[in-house]
Amino acid sequence: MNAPAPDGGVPDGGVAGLARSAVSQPFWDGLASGELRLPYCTRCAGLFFHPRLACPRCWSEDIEWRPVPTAGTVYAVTVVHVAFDPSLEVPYSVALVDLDAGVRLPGRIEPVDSLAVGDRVELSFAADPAVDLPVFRPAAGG
Amino acid sequence: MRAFGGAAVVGVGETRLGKRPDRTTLDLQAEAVRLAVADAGLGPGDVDGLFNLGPYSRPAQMFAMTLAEHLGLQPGVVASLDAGGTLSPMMMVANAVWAVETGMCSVAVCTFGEAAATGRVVPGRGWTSTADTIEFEEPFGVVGNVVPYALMASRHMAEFGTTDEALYAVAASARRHAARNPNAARREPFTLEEYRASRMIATPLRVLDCSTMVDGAGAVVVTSAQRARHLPHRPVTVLGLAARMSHRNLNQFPGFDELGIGAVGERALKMAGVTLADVDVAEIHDAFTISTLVFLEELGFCRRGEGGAYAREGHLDLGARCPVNTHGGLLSQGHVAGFFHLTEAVKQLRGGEGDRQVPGAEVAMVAGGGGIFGVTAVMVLGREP
Repeated sequence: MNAPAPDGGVPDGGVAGLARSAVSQPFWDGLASGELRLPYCTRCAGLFFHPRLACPRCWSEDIEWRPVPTAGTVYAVTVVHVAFDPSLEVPYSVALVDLDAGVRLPGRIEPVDSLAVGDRVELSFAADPAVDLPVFRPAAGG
Repeated sequence: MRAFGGAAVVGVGETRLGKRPDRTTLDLQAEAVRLAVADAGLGPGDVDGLFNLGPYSRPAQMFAMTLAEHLGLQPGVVASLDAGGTLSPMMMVANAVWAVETGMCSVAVCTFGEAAATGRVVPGRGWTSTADTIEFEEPFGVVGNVVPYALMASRHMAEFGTTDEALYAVAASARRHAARNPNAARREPFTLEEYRASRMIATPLRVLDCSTMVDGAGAVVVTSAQRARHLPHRPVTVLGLAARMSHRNLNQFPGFDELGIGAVGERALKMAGVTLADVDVAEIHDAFTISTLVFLEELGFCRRGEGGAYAREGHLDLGARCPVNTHGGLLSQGHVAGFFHLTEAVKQLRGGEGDRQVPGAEVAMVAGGGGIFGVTAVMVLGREP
């Protein structure tokens, strides 16, 4: 993990090295162990994202982390051709994915440019455990 | 008395825009304040209120105090105000009006602008990151502003059939207006073919879909309606203002029809006692071409998905019933966080803008956005008789 840059900008390790918050650690731990885990409010009985200490709907602090299915649909997608940070290799593709579980998740798309809005996708756990970013691929048979 | 009726905008200042490596953000804001106060027929001894915003391109704290001291001022009201993107200028003016109406100060100056072209901490990127918002965006490659707007553009195209020709129509209209503005950063017209040959940044957005980062600043002066009558320019008043926040993180984007932009516009027009048909000139958020299309559609200038046709048919151009972004906008004049949308609206209502004047403009609309369609404000302005 890289230390934050002293001027408040991006640390030397680039965007992949940005600090992750303690509250969302179970999300990242889940990805590293091959499971998609999301925060679930036991009071209003629903998932939410992104992770917070209290539910954004009812403010309850009774939060559990639950494994959820990894299938979803592309809500929006772009292929980026300019490296806005030196740590990014272009072109790369990033999307917002509406999980069937009911939350919207950002994620990388591989192969690059393989998917359009509305396509079905499946989360594939990252080959590089040091990065552990969610990567979505075209759904099998989809 | 109507809302915001106790005070008026009596001065505007616009620095030269472009690459100005010999000027810091502080220098640029101070220059804009001096220009605006002179334009109002006032001097440094008159100013007792100051609102600004520190630069997005590098960290700054208590930047209003920094600027006040730099200008030799000891104001009764001094505050930095970040309302998100191009909302900040409008919210500064609202606070200035309230401060004058309540008697906390008598002359308040609002300014923003920065050394965004040459003064960035992180070269090649528009803005610095802040650790409280980046965890689920930047590590994924949703970096800067182009990538998230590109995602939104991809969605708009899929949902409403928006084409690259529609995006081009917005960019080309802004450029035609900029050609009439000597203080615009980009003034050369371009064809659809040239647009399609321009560099792809993040699909579907090309470099000509993106606003132009510049060094520069704008400012406005607000004082009481009573005092305004004795100053050189025809006073311009805020007739209506409304705003709404939707989301901050892109994963919370609720859909174009759930942003509340239309309701914000209706509230601002209702407060002003006018309808959209009464608006003579509109300065609309255009950090990227897709933004203008969304605002036109959601504000009701045209139906959802028809923004491209509206632009192609020339409804944005000078000479149309309600021209849009008469100064060239963020796209072609330069991105000063919407401050020049505000100053342009004031100048259009005063009259005298030469070959880009909307004849007899009496009601102007400024529509601003911050984040990625995350917050919206609409201000309606009018001229005093």
